[in-house]
Amino acid sequence: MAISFLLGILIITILGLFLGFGLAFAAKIFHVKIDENVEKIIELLPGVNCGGCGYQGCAVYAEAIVKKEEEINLCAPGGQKVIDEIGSILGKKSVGKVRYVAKIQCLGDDAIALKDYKFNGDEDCYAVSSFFGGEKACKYGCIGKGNCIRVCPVNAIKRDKLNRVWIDSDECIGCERCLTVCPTKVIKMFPIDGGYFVACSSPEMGKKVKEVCKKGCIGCKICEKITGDPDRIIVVDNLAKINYNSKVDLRSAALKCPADTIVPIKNQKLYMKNNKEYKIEN
Amino acid sequence: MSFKKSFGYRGAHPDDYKYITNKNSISFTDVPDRVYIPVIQHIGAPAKIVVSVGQVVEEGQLIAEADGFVSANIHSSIPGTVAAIEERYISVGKKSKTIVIELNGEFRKSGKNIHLTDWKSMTKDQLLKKIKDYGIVGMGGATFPTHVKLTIPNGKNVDTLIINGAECEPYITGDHRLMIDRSEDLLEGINIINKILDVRNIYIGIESNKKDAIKRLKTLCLNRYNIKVVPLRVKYPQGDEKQIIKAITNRVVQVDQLPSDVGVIVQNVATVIAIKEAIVNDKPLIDRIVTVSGSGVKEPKNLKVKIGTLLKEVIEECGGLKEDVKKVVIGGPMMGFAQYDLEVPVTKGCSAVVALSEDDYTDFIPNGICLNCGKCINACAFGLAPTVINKYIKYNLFDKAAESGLMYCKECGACAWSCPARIPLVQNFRLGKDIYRKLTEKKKKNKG
Repeated sequence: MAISFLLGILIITILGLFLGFGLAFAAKIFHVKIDENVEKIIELLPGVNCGGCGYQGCAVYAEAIVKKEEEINLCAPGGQKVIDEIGSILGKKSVGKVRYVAKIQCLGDDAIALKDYKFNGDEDCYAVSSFFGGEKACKYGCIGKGNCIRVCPVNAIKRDKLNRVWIDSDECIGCERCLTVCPTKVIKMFPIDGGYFVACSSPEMGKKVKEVCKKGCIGCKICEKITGDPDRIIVVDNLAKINYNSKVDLRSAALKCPADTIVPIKNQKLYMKNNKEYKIEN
Repeated sequence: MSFKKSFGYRGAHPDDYKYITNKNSISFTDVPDRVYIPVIQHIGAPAKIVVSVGQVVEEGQLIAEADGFVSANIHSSIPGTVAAIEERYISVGKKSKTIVIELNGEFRKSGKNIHLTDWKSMTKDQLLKKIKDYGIVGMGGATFPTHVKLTIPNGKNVDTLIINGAECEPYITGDHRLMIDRSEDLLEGINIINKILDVRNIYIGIESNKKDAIKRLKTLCLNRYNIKVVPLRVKYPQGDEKQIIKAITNRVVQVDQLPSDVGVIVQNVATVIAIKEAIVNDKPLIDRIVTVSGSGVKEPKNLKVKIGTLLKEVIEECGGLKEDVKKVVIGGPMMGFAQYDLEVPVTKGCSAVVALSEDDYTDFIPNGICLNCGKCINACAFGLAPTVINKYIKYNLFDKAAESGLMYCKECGACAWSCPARIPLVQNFRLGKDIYRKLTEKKKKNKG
């Protein structure tokens, strides 16, 4: 009884020792050198895997920085802070590119934009837009079925109670995913320091725009006159266009806009809240 | 009761609602003041416009010519002047260039005795060219150019011609009335096609809910023609090309085959009559039979409508819409498109206008959840699994959806009709097809 007991312990011990040495050798022989810097950079990067830098994810980008000497200023969500930290590890210095955020150039919702019909079916922007160009009478605007909301990795895209979709600049990381799923191409990128953007995409004549939507650019040129600088804001094809190379203040023009379509880029949240007609759900 | 043929155990059984209009003979409409003729009225390349604004056109004059082999000519349906060429929405929900013609001048052909052409002395190529020149397309709804269908590729042997009088879609009775009111024309048209194809067997397949049509054609064909009238079981989609071939000849057309691969050509009843009119009466395809039916119309009728007439004028002809109309559908309730606006022109493929009042209308359930009951699989006559394909589309796996047969879906609507969760399957398939086509185009571009 006792012998068989001891024998068992002996066999297990010998086997354990043998396998243990085997593992130790394997670890030595098959050792993969992991660059410390890669691990550090992976920890520094925000980890949202948005793909904005052009790589599949944060880990791949970190490897590319160390091994392929990729530029360190490609991470849009991280901003200047992450660039500085990565720079301190690698001894490099770089300035972040201008941060761009996505904006939906349409303010039409259930209350102010006229609708041609009600779509009976699954909520998908492509499906609706392929059927008579969308529910709204204005065929240039936001379809409002939320394809972009579903692909946003950081939930920066919000929806009102009245089905108006808008993007919060504080949360937007500029990965441009929403641009690819929008069938009407109503989402565009704007520099965060650009001041204001025109929240309408309709190139129709003013009268036609007014018939179908209360918040549409009618091409009245008031903004052009108040600013007095055609390099900054100019009306082309019945639609105001802002040039972001110039830094002239547009505040007075935005306040005077009869349709309220010149919207601040940074504080769209405030703009949406101040407007008493809208209460934000989220 | 005799044994009636059908295509197998699959399919759906919607109520046919044919009783509303199947006793009304074809009546004529007033000539519209303006017609709106889109250049996209057929499968294939859009026709090329050959008129300019301000030009005077005659009735039946060529206004847009076929752009390529798979395309069809388009003719003016009224005499007049071209008022504008503009972009308009057509009944399928897409934009198309549209030629607007204002009525002006006199009708030189309609209602006048004209010289009848002796087609028996014409050769096969002459007949085909005339069909092509006069812009004949399949009038069952698919609008595939007829000259393409009748041109049989080398090496294929066609021995059977099937005339499709099944008309399985609910409400529509246009073909039914044509078979009764114009049966002589139909038989002459069949003889013309027979001269082109030179086939051994000719069948007319008719669903057995059109008993008077079957009786009339049977008595007519009894001694004079080598044509067999085949009564078919009432089942949806009996009128589809592949299903009617299976039902009548028991030959199976595989998913990637054409009917001519198994030696069969199928032509719709209305197309045959259009061919007869084109060849014997020298009349291009400028009008068609439209069934205006449904519980929302005051006087349901079978109308002969000029192509390009606005929907609202067609409905006015039938006494207008009732007040509780919920939905107006062009092209039958199973495969048609709902319209929000009645300013849509009638095109070559517009077989019916159905207005549904509140009694017949069922609302859509948002976010219906699939029960995995398999009713759609039982309904699909093409052997697809709609529930699986729908799930692939829902999760954006378009390649996998195509592997499961998405592109072989004919959008007949039998699956969506039988779905207890009321999932908009056909809508999703249309969307999936659109996106898949775009994706493959992109891939081709990237490669080339």
